[in-house]
Amino acid sequence: MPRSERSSIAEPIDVSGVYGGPAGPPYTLVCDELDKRFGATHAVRGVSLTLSRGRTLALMGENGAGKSTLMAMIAGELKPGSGSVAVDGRVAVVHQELSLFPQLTVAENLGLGREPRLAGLVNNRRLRADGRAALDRIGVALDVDTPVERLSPAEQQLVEIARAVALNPSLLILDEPTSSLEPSQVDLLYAATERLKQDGTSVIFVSHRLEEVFRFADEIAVMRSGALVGAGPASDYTRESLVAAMVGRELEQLYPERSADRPQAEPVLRFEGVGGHGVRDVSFAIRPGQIVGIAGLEGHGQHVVAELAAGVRKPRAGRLVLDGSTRGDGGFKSPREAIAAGVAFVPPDRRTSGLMLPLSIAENLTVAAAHRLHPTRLLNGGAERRAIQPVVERLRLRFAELEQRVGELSGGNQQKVLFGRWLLVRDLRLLVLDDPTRGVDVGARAEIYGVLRELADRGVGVLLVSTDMLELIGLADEIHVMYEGAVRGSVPGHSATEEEIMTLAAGEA
Amino acid sequence: MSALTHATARRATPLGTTTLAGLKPALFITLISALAVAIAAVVSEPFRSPTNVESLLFQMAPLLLVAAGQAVVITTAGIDLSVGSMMSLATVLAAASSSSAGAVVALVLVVGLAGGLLNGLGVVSGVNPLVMTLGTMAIFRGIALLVLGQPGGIVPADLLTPLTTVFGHVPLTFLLALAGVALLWLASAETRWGRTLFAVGGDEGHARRARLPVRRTLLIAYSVSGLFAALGGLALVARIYSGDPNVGDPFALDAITAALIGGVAVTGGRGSVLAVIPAVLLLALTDNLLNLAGVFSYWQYIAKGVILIATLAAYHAAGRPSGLLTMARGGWRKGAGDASTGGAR
Repeated sequence: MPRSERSSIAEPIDVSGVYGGPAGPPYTLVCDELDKRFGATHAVRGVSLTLSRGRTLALMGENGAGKSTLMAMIAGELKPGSGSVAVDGRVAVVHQELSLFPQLTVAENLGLGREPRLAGLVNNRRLRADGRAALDRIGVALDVDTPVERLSPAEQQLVEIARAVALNPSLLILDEPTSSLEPSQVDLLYAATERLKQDGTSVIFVSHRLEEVFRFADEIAVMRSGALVGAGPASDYTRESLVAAMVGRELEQLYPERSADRPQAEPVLRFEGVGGHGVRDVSFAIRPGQIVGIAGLEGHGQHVVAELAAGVRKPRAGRLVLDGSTRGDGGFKSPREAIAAGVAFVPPDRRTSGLMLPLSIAENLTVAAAHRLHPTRLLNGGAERRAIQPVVERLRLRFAELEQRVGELSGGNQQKVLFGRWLLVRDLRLLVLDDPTRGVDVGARAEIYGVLRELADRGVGVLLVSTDMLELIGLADEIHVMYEGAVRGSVPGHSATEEEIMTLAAGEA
Repeated sequence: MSALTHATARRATPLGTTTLAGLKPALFITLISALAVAIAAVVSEPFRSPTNVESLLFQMAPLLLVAAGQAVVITTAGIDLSVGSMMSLATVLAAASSSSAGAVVALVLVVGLAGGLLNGLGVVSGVNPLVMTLGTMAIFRGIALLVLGQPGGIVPADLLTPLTTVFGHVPLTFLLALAGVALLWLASAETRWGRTLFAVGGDEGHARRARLPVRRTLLIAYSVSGLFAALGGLALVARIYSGDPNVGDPFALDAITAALIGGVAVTGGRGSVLAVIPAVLLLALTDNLLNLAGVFSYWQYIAKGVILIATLAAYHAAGRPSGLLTMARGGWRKGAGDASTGGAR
């Protein structure tokens, strides 16, 4: 078999014969009764779906609804259990988890495996030119000689998209392409997909951001528990009816009720003119029971604020005051010290810095509470299970057994495990969250939001860093907006609007 | 901060950007080695002598070859412990087969390739490289002992003559070793196989998902290592004029040491085969100078260990913005850059 040229290309299958040639509708994709089981799990149940040339389909559904399995079968990465899939041309997939090689440059990543050659050696001049051309096609300007690891997550995402587009696919599958993009970059992506559509390329688009779904998609297909529960023109759906179709019930409210005002208690944590690592003069306070939001566009220092609060980084200027007393030389000496003081951190990238993927659910859940659960330092399985059980139920975690590897869970469930870890810590004072719901579906989000509010009601202070403005507006009591490393302005959560935050985040106010 | 604000610098170097970045540690080691040579040449009369230069170069040839192969394997995030035994095996095959030079060289090269391919097959079928090559290390040693139970044998004269040829005071084996390293560097940095090699070493899972030929790349990498170890064995024959079933033993670890000093990341995906040249020079100089200074030879091990640790510590320090050495920008740190932690820049 000749080696496929590169990322995720299915062998072209001619569908013109199946659908009556030129007389039939010009479908790019025809799925007929696609079905797939993994052991006891019925991942995809008899899905039939067609997509015409030059149309965009939004594939919707909660995590674990079978979207990934369906897309893997369409891309030819997975053999269907039964049924058939036919694609007129090539499929290119941009997966949710980036698959770039961080140590290689943009051009090297874009050309990997099909480098232009001159006398057997890589022709680096053409490789760079091809790379620039690939970036131009989606309207992105980057230095093609930059190693990918020095790009921001958003820029890496754009390179990944450029890599797929460079294949001239007739079907482009984008799995959560906007999760790390800022609004101007989403506009770029939108323009690029519009251009592709004009050239006859069809696009399948997966996102949990409903407003983008309605902007990008011509058609919407909804999956639930492996089955297709709805498909039709995007204009047939409203936000409410789409969410209802996805979760199978009316989601009465995504964001939990705000608690009544509580007496102004002494702050759990106070930033006093904190600076360093690209931020400067950051001052604010988090009181017990309060959810404090940090907004900002990608790369304006909000991640640093989270890492300072969690003890991952030490301030170079100013000081952190915990429960009224200054910490050591102005901040935590280490994450360990922060945890001992009751400060928990949920980092933005659960796969690389949050979870231990090869270990079990139980091991991941108990890692922060190990001292309390196992005071004798010998592991006590019974005590562990008794402690875990209520947490697992509270989070509505979907899993086969507690000994299952965390790496096998869906994204939303992995994120729940990360949260559950801190529910087991009894003397939690402050929870620091950095983009906690990136790539998490609506159902799991609602559960996570509920747990957050519950923790706050118990008197835990919450610092919520997020690029999702609606999430901040829905949850936070107070939102501080970062611009170029400093707090540009603050708005009360209950009355904030997207426009207000955006204006501050863009440095225009 | 938007993607649009990045300058689109235009570079026209014929070499790849990552290829050039991989040479930065080589530059550092070259400077240190050059300094050591300069000082030794000034202060030490015997160091300057032609016989000493010749013996130094003879000494470097085998390690150059075996370290280059090792560097390729380490780039895949693997390791090859069997290369020492493979070198021994090559020497005993050269000394025990008593046929013509051409036949001996062909036999040695085929055995080297086959041994390396065996390692590669084990690794692609899922055996950990450390385990696989630890196993073949013992196997190759056993075969070498079965062929020739003790040092000796007779190397065919028509093989020994070219192997010991010296131009002026530069041995032929040294020149061939340099050429071999340079060729392997070019192949590993500037061909499709080479680019895939760095991708596989950087993240094998991603490489599979991008449908890169992971298996073939690994098979070639281990075969090359076996082949270069066998060549290193022939270069060793030029020094010992005989076969010895144990002579290669120290080379497995010396080759790893040389690759690491040359800046090849033990975690894979970063480094340059060419960097083993200054690294081997530095190690050979250490032996040579301590010998000339009349220091008891066991101290050489200690000195080389210190050099390894100090060099890697310097690389590590240089990987940080606050580091003393700035030559490491874009170097070998694995995914720990500012960009990946999402900090403000």
